[in-house]
Amino acid sequence: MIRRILDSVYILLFAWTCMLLGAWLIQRLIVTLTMPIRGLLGTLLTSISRVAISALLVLVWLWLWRELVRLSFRRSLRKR
Amino acid sequence: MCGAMSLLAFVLGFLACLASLPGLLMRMRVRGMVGPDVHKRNRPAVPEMGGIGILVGLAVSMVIVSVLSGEEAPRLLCLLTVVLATGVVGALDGLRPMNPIVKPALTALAGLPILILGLFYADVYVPRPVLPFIGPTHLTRVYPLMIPVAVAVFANAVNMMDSFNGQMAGTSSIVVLVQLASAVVLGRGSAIVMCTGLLGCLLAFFYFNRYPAKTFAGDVGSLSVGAAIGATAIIGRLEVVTLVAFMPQIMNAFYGLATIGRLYERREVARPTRLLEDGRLEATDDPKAPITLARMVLARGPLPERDIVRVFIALQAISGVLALFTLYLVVAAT
Repeated sequence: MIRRILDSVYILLFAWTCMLLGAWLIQRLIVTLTMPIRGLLGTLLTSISRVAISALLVLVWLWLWRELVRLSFRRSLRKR
Repeated sequence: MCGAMSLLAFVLGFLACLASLPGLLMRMRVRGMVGPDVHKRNRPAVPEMGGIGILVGLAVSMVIVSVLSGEEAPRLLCLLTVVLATGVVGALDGLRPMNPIVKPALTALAGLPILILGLFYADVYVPRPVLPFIGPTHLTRVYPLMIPVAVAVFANAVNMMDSFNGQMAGTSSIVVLVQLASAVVLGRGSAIVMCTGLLGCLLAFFYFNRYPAKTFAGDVGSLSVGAAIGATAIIGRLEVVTLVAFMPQIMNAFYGLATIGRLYERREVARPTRLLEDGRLEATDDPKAPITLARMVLARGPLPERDIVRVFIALQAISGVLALFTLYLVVAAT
């Protein structure tokens, strides 16, 4: 029973840690990011790049999460 | 005052749900509103819409407490409106199964009362969630757009986690307990009343839903409980803590969506588990079946239904501990 719980706890901890780290990264690094271009174009590019990098980070997180689940599931099936 | 109201909300919710369910279940049996418990060898017929008892309990609790505590009334009635609207969607889905895109869309619409009441009462929702490490954020434009999405996500995630006897009521009770603890720490009076009211209903319902179940919650119950948790998170400003406490439900929904690749209804995909001759449940090898959390738990070998629910409750409790640690980070960032 404990092994079954631990299988999911590892993934839970991974998702939780990534969530906190992601929020910290977005706030500390990505929100402070500015394009070296002045004017409206600069503001627009800065906003687009912030959203794009944040979205990419989230997608990488979700992809890693999915792969971890698949790996863990296959490994557990093999051990059955 | 808040303490007395919270206790009253709990007692009213518990008693109203407990008192209404026997009569409701008898009527459902007479009218043939029963379905087979597919995780038992003899497939007993069980009333399917017992979740109505949760709605009755919450309605009695929130209406009476609203009348007695004038200033909390808009927030409490807002919660009740969201829950009742989601309950109607669930009841319609229970009577005639909906398309997997229509159901989330309708549950999202059930979140609109929060936005509408927010126009008249400034503090129904506050678009400044506090994040760990970061502190208060200003999401004035994005936050209102996220409210219907959040209600739909919470409602449908609980609905997807209602597969075994006592699973939905047991795991949801832990989420609500964590919300309650957070509301007490942060001093959110209305959230405390909402949580105690909902907890009373869930505990009374758990008595009927635990193994071997005398009733299922049905979509009417699971969608409503999910919407109630989501609405409490928004109205009570407990967004981040609730999200972390809710991780097993999110994981379960995410696994299913990630493996199937789209929104789906349980009836239209291969079953992730199968019942063995000895009454235990086993994960299937079918590559087309979604990898649900139950299938993950059963991947190591078969388990009786009661033990599967114990694993889920343990996972939810661990998630609750992480949520309380997150609460500490939130308080530190404020």
